[in-house]
Order: sequence, then C-alpha cells, then structure tokens
Amino acid sequence: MLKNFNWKSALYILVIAFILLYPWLGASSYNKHLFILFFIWSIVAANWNLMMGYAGINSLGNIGFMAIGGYTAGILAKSFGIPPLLTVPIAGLVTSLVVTLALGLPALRLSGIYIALLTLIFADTLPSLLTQTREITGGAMGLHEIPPFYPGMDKTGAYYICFVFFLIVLGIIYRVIHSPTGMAFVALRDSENFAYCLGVNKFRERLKVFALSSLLTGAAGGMYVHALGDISPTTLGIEPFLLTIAMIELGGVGTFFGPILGAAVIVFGNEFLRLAGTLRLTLLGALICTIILFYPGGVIQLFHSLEHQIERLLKRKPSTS
Amino acid sequence: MFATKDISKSFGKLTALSNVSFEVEEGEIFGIAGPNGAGKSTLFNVITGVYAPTSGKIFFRGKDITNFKPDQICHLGIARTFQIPTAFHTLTVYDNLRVGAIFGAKRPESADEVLELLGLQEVRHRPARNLDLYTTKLVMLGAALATDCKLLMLDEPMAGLSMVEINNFLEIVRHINQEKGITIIIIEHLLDILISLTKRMLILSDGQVLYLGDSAGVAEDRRVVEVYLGGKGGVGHARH
Repeated sequence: MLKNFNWKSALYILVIAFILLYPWLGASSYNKHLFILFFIWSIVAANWNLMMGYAGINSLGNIGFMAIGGYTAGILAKSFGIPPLLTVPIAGLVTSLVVTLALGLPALRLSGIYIALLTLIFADTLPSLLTQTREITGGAMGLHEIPPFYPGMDKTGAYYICFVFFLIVLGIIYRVIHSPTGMAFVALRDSENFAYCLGVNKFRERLKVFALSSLLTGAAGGMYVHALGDISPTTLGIEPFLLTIAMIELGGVGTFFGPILGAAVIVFGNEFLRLAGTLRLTLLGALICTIILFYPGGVIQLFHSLEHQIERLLKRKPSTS
Repeated sequence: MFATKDISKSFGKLTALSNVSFEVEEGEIFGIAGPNGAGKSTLFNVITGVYAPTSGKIFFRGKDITNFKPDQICHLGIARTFQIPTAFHTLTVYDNLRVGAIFGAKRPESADEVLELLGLQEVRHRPARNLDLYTTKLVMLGAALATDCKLLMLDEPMAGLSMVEINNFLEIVRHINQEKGITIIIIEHLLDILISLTKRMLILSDGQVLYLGDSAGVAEDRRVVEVYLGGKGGVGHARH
C-alpha cells in the first residue's frame, strides 16, 4: 500500500482539492479575485513559456496577444451582445489569426533577437492603435462594464469558471508538450539545423507555436474581461509585461510547472507586498534576484531539490524496517 | 545514384566552392578529404539544403534536388551528421532518435530499430547532454539513420575519438553500408582511414576539385601530396 503511495500525485490532488473548496472555506471576495488573476496570468505565462522556453522563439509580444483577445471579447459582448460562451473562443481564434498572419509569418523570416524586437514592436503599436479607435475600444479609458460570464455572476462563479478554463488550457499545453509537435519545438530550440535536416519542417512547426500560443493567450484575454469586467491600454504597460516575464523566469523557463509556480509567487506576492506601498516592486525585484541567485533554474529547481530530499528520506525508511 | 554538377557557392566575395562535380554510385562508400577551409562542410551544407548553391545542380536518384529545403531533402532519403557533435541536449537519447523516426521516416518504430542497431538501449533514457563524445556521435548518427535514409552523409565523424573508438565507429559504418545497403559519403581528415574505407574519393582544396578517382591512387598523386601531405604550402594536418 505504502509502496504505491506517490507523494507527488497526493500533493497535486491536495492543491486541486484546496482550490475547489477554497470559496467554501470562507475565502474573501478579494482572495477569490486574486485566484482569478492567478488562473489567468498562469495561462498567459504558460503559453509565453511554450513559445520562449520550449520552442525557443524569443517573443516579447505575448501581452499584446492577450490584449487583442481581451478587446475582441469585450467589444463583441458589449457592442454586439454576443454571449461570453462564444466571445472567448472567437477572441482566441481572432487573436490566433491576426498574430499568425501579421506577426508569425514575418517573424519567422528572422531569428534570435530580431524576433524579440519585432514582437515587442507589435505589442507596442497596440496602445496607440487603441487610442486612435476610441469609438469602439474606448481609447485610453478602455472598456468598462463588460458583461460577465452570466447575468448576476458573483466572484465565486467567476472563480470556478476561470479554474475550469485554467485546467483545460494547462491540459492542452501538457498534451502538446508531450506530443511529437512538442518534441519538434524542443528539437528546433536545441539545434535548429539538426532538426531541419532530420525532416522537421521548421517553418510549419514554428508557425504552429505562434498559432497555438496566441489562440490560448487570446482566449485568456477573453476570460480576463468577462471575469473582471474591464480592460484598458494599461494592460499593455510595462508592469504587466515585466511581471509576466518574471513569472516565467522566476518559476523556471522551459518547464511545465515553472510558469504556474511563478505566477503564484508573483500574483500573491505582489498583492501581499502592497503593504509595502511604493517599495512593492523593489521588494518583488529583490525576491526575484534572490531566488535566481540561489536557484538559477527558478522556483521549480527549488522544488526539485526538495523532491530529491524527500525521496531520500522515503527510501531510507524501508531499509530500517 | 547521386551527383553534383558544377556546384559553386560564394559568400559575398569569398568563393567557398567552385565548379565541384562528382558522382556517387548506389551502395558505395565515397570519401571526401581536404585541408581545413577547403569547402568540405560547405559542400555538405549545399547538398543538404542548409545553403542554396550560387550555381550548379544537384541530382539524387535522377531527380533535380537543387534548392530543396533540408526537410524535403531528408524526406527524399538523404540524411547527414554534423562536424560539431550535435544532439538535442535536453531530449533523451531515445527522443533524439524519435525526432528522426517521426519527422524524417514518419515511421516511429525506426527509432527502436536504430536503438538496437547501435547498442544504445542502456542509455536510452539519459538526456543527451550527459553523454560522452563517442556516444553523442552515435546518437547523432542514430537520429540520421532513424530517418530511413538511402544516402548517409557523415561530416568528420571520427574527429576527437580515440583509436579504439575510431575502429568501433568504422565497423559501424561498414555494417550500415553492407547490411543496410545505405550509400555513404564521408568527410575525413585522415587520409589513411579514408583509403582503407573507400574505393573512390574526392579531394577539395580551396573550394576546387584537386583529385577525383580511386582512393588507392591518392598517395601517388603529386598535387595531393603537395597540397595535402605537407609539401610547399601544405599545412601539415595529415601527419601520421
């Protein structure tokens, strides 16, 4: 019995059970709000990591994908009265189409740092585009009072809907990573020419990364606006951008759980540090630097070393009995 | 089976290859030698589509494959290894072979066949970054073989190996050629190894064909001796 006990799966079940039960354990509306942010930013970070960590495409434009999805869903719901069940998938598809055609195709003619620059420029053009199209997008004010997932939705409803979305998207990413497509992403990252000469169509596989990552990030943008009710060009500002990059770096680049752990640390840590007022970002930066200094592989590396120690302890027991 | 016709390749003003023509017969092991910078690896890169040739044509089994992309060339049955030991260092040995099997051969089971052929079962779950040089080279060779290639191009596969490892590797190359019927083009610095391994060879110097013909006749060719074995202007690579 004990031999088959896997403490890791037990931990996953515990965490999921806790998240499921949390609203019943007297969670405040504010804490539920934090969890919603955690679910959505995890998705954004995980998809960004799929591009940057797994496929080695140094995109800096993923917040732009989220904004496109968010605005698409928001406009569809607000101006056209389309139900959120449809706006979220449409937001994903629109984002994927725009990003793959307008950004993916030209970006894949470049390499390395130039992809980073192009994707950054892409995201950077969006705020001025938004302020120029005030009639539809609300300009610098953004969109407000975007309809929730269903009329009369409370925080608990949004919490569970976002949690389900979080599980679905992470499930998709997990499957992709462990599929031949995921193997091709990593192969192209590790050695582009070798993969190319082994029959991997590098253009097609990398276009798939753009399409998939922007699809899921755009959908996450849609979830964001229906869960929180508004979006404005500040979403495209420097702080969300850096914080999401920090989630990936802090959690562990190129690992499945890394960005999720990173998102947890940043979202909850960022709110916790609000007590520190203006020093908030400074302290967050110090925290990131400290973790990276001792665990350059991120929080996930800390977990792995803990895992080894627990396994050593578990192994020692049977020999004494 | 395979031929190039007047292949030239320039990088700006630098001419890396000029008018290189040669043919390879079905089932043979064909050697390519030449001093550093002679254009051997560039020739491989042009053949496998990594670079487009500036002029000239490449034929494989009667088909003009000039300007094909590397993945297309792989799908036609040409696989290669690289001079710098290359593997997907974060993937396991088995997954390295699977890349070739799934994307090159579109036949996943070929990874298992190659694993057995090269005796890599014991390290199959090990990440490629934790391998010694010889095993890394076997993995690179294995991934290429897993594509079900008809023509295998090896770029200095024995550089940096010990004598024992070189002999093991040569045995594998002969085995692949004889038992699997795979045609091989091999670049190698050491002329005596090439002479014993191949019947015919090409020697490049400054991007031009210096010698093309029987391997046995190489040592007697005056120009080869001069350029390659350390006569005037020789750089002394092939000291034995």
